[in-house]
Order: sequence, then structure tokens, then C-alpha cells
Amino acid sequence: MKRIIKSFCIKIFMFILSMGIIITLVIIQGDFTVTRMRDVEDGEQGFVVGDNNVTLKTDAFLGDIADYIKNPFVVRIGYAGSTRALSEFINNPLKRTLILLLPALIFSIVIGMLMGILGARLRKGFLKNLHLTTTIGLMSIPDIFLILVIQYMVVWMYRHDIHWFRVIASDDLKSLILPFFLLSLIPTNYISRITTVAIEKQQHKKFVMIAKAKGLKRSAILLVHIMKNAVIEVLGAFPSMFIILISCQVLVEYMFAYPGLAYMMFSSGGEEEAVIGASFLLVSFYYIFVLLVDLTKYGFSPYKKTGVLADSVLELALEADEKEAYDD
Amino acid sequence: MIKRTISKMNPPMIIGMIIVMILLVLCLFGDFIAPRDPYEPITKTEMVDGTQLLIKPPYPPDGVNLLGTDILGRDILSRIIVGAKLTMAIVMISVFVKIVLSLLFGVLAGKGTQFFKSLIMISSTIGSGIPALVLTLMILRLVFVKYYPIGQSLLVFGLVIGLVEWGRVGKIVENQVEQIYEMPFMIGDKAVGKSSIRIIFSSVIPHLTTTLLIHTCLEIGRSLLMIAKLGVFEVYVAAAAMDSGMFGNKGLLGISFEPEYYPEWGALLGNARYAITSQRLWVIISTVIVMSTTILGFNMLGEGLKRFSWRD
Repeated sequence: MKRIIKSFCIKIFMFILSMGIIITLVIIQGDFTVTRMRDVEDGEQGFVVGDNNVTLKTDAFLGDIADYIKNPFVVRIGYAGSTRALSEFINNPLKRTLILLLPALIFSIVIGMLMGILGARLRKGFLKNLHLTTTIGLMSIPDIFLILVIQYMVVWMYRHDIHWFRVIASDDLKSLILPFFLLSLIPTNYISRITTVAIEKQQHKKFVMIAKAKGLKRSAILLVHIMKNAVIEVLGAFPSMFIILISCQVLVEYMFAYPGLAYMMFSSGGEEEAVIGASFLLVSFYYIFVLLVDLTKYGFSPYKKTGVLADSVLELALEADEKEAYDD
Repeated sequence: MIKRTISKMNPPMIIGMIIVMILLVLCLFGDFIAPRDPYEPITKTEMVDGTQLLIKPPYPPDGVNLLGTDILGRDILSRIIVGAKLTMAIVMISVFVKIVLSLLFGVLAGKGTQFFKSLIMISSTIGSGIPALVLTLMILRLVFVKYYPIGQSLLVFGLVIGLVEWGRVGKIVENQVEQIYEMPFMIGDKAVGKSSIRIIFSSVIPHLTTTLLIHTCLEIGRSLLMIAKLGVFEVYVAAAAMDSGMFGNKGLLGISFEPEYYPEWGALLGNARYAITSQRLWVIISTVIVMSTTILGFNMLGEGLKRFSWRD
């Protein structure tokens, strides 16, 4: 539990630091005029950066960071410009992003793991090679080029009166099929590969051999013995998978002109607070997800029931996992 | 005999080397190899009812322009060849930043210095929390970056891409150094009274060389991919160099974009959405193929080096 609390504190610190970086970038982005929310309420200007000299008021800057982090927990997220509440135009993009992101996340995890299990169960031969080639091949193709090629194919189909998919995504479910497919393709493939490797690693361990020698069914060995250990390794790959997913989300929203959070970030027409709000939510998604993964990892860990030494043993085991993941 | 020779060969390394050599030739002699002036637009006309009419570019591939022209009528093949130098300049600056920072801080962190451990942890976690693409875009879309001249612009692009992604490489180096410090010969080094700095230079860095070489190749691929993504988002070097305003605010087919002046590969992808919507695929397809092949080449070279080091 000590590790979880430590990890939680580090993530909160990292989150604040990340927001600091984003806010700094947004503040110097526009016409160099920085207006603090509090100052807007008072009808005053925060601080201005002149033509040649830059004067940064530390209290104003730190106040901004504090406000943007604090406000989501109060009534509204912030102010766009000087009149509209940011929540007014962040609500819909947030909903749209979640409509695409959450199903893609669940799909990637469930289908990716199932495909991975299936891949590990295949015996050497054509199907095994096909699975291996497909997963490695898909991992090698740059995601941006994949999106470009598929979009081109859809436009070509549209011009030849085949209206199966749409190039521009909107709230209509039919138009979301292609973005959903592109968004979940690479993360699913990634989880599938990690699951296969994790299972194959366990398959040659002694306790699996003994279970086989005892005459247990393949499915029982897989579920009771192999998956119990492999799942921790697969969980360790979830944060990386989420980074891939968010990156794909940015690309997909931009290329399909889907008005979600990422699209709003790059087409908000200089609305600084809109960019900050959108980044705030995207960065929060990552840290919340990583915390959930940490908790799940702890729940699955076989070390947690080992008494007083649980935390230190778990810490060592998790460090070893991380080390192994980086080595891979 | 043939089977044994083939099994001894290292196909990824051979393929990777060939691709990298071709790229090197393009970088060094691109200006002489390019069949046309990459900055000079051409115009084509056609006769309709006895009147000579100007055809609007982009022109599809033909005998004169082997890969077609871009939306201003400039030869794409020449732009790709000449652009190799500019693109690789950004890539090399970014990889240099990544490797130097990773080596410097990774070695010190792997040695056990808490400050550098925290620095790498912060950098890699922030690099994960804010997607690298978003962070790079936010920095490079800053208004003043757009107005930098080409030299400064290349430097800024390289530095930003390198600084955003160095934490991940730093973590790898840190782990590797920790492993080296656990090896038996390190006890010997300490026993004979070698100083920490001497141990780093005589034992740690030589053992890191292979890892660094492999990761340099892989990072070149990653940086190229980042340049491609930035290009699709219309973020490229010296973007304001050609502030023509010829397409107005709405642009072509309602897609707003400004054509690039310098033929950096990422910039050639800037009109990707226009090319797809208007079905003029030749405008981007050759750049996509060239970039994919280059990424593949460096990845294969990295894989080949890995196999080569395992064989030893």
C-alpha cells in the first residue's frame, strides 16, 4: 500500500508539472498577452509581454496554474476569452472524445488479450507464422501513413459510389466506424503481441510443466496458472498502450475533422483557455488510467498476501517488471 | 554451403546499410542529382478550340516530372532529393540531443545519483503524460518559431524533438548502466582503486556502445516519424518563408493550408488532406514511400546491429 501511496503522490506532482509546462506554452503562444482568470473577473489585465522585453509575474503565473487545476473541482473549468465559461464548449468535445476513446480502450484491451491468448495457443505452423507476421508488421507501419492510406481508400470508394464509410467524422455512429477502427487497430495489436509474449514466457516454467504432467486441461493451465502470472506483465504494458491510443486519438480527430478535445486543441483559434482545458483533460486521462492500472496490478499481485514484507517484496517485483519491460 | 553462408549473413543489416547508403548519397550530392530546380514552378498549357489555356497544377507524373508536381507546379522528385539534406539535419540534431543527454544523465543515474534518477524519471513521465506529438506541436506552433529563418528553424526543430523524447532513451541507458555496475568485472575495477570517472570511461561507456548504436538507429526512425506527423499537422521548418496567401483563408477545396518553400520531407506532407480529398495522391505518396523506406532502413540497421552484437 505504501508503494501505491508513493506512486499516487508522484503522479500528482507529475500532473502539476505537466500542466505547468502546458500553461507556460499556451501563455506565450498567442499575442504575448496573458490574462489571468481572476483579473478577467476584476476587469483588469494580468500582465503584458512587450515587444522586446518579457516580464513574467511569478504570482500571476502560479495563480493561473493553481486556478486551472482547482477549478474543475469547483463549478466551472475556467473562462474562454472573457465571456464564455470554458465548460460551455468543452462539454461536447469531451463527450465526443470519450465516445471514441472509451470503446477503443475497452476493445483494445479485451480483443487484444483474446487475440494474444489465441496467438500463444497456436501450434507452430502457418497460422502461428501468420499471427506473428501480422502483429510485427502492423507494429512497424507508421500510424500516420496507415491513416492516410485508409482515408484515401475511403475517398476513392466514395467517388465510385460506395458509401460504406465517411471521411469526415461526426456524431453519427456510422461515421465513427472508421475512426474507431483506426484508433483501436494499433493498440489492439500491441496488447495482442505483449499478451502472446507474456504467455509464451510462462509456458516453459516448471510449475506449468508440473501442471501439464498432472494431466490438467490446457484451458485450466492457461487460466489458473499461466494467466495469473502473465496478467501482471500485460498490465505493465497498459500505460504504453494508452499513450499510443491518445496519440492515435490526436491524429484521428485531426484527420477526420472530428470535433473532440484533441481537434479543439489545434483548431480553437487562439482560445488559450480552450487549449489548456483540453490538455488538462487529456493529461488527466493518462494519470487516472495509470493509477487505475497500478491499483489493478496491486490487486493481481501474488505478493500482497505475504504479510509484513509485502510492500518491499512487491516493490522489488514491480521494479524488476519495469526493468524487464525497458530491456524488452 | 550456400545455406550456411546465408544463415551467417545478416539480412536486416545488409538491407539497412543499402538504404542508409542511398540516403547518404542523396544528402551529399542531392543538389547535383536533382533533375530540376526544386524551387522553380513549371506551368503547362493545353489547346482548347484553338486557344492556349493554362492548366492549374498539381500535374500528374509524366516524362518530364517523373513523380508529378506539387500544388505550385514544383517537381516532387527534385524536392524529395534536395529535401533529404534538410530532413536529415533535423533528425541528426534531435538524435544527437537525445543520445548526449541520455548518455550524460543515464550514466550518472545508473551510477546511483538520486538527482539524475529523478531528472530522468520526471522527463520520461512527462513525456508519457503529455503525448510527445502534442507537446512538440505546442512548442513548434509558437508564433515566433514560424518566422525563424531556415538555419535557426532546423536547429529549433531538432532541439525540440530531441528534448521532448530524451527521457525514454535516458531510462534505457540508466537501466543498462545499472546492469553493468552489477557485473563481476566492476568489483575488480573498484578493488584495484580506479576512480569513479575512470571506471565510467574505461568500463561503463565501452559496454554501452552497442546499446547506444542500436538506439541511435531506432531513434532516427522515431524522429523521422515525428517529422512526418508534424508535417501532416502543417508544422514544418521556416513555415513563414513563403507567406503567399494565394489560397486565401479558405484554401483549396475549403482546406486551409499554406504551401511550403523549403523541401523538407515533413513539409511535403503538409498538403496531405488536400491530396486525399482531391484524389491527387501523387502529391504525397512518393514522400510517404520515401519516409517509410528510410524509417524501415534505420530500424533494420538497428535490428541488424542487435543481431551482430548477439553473435559476438
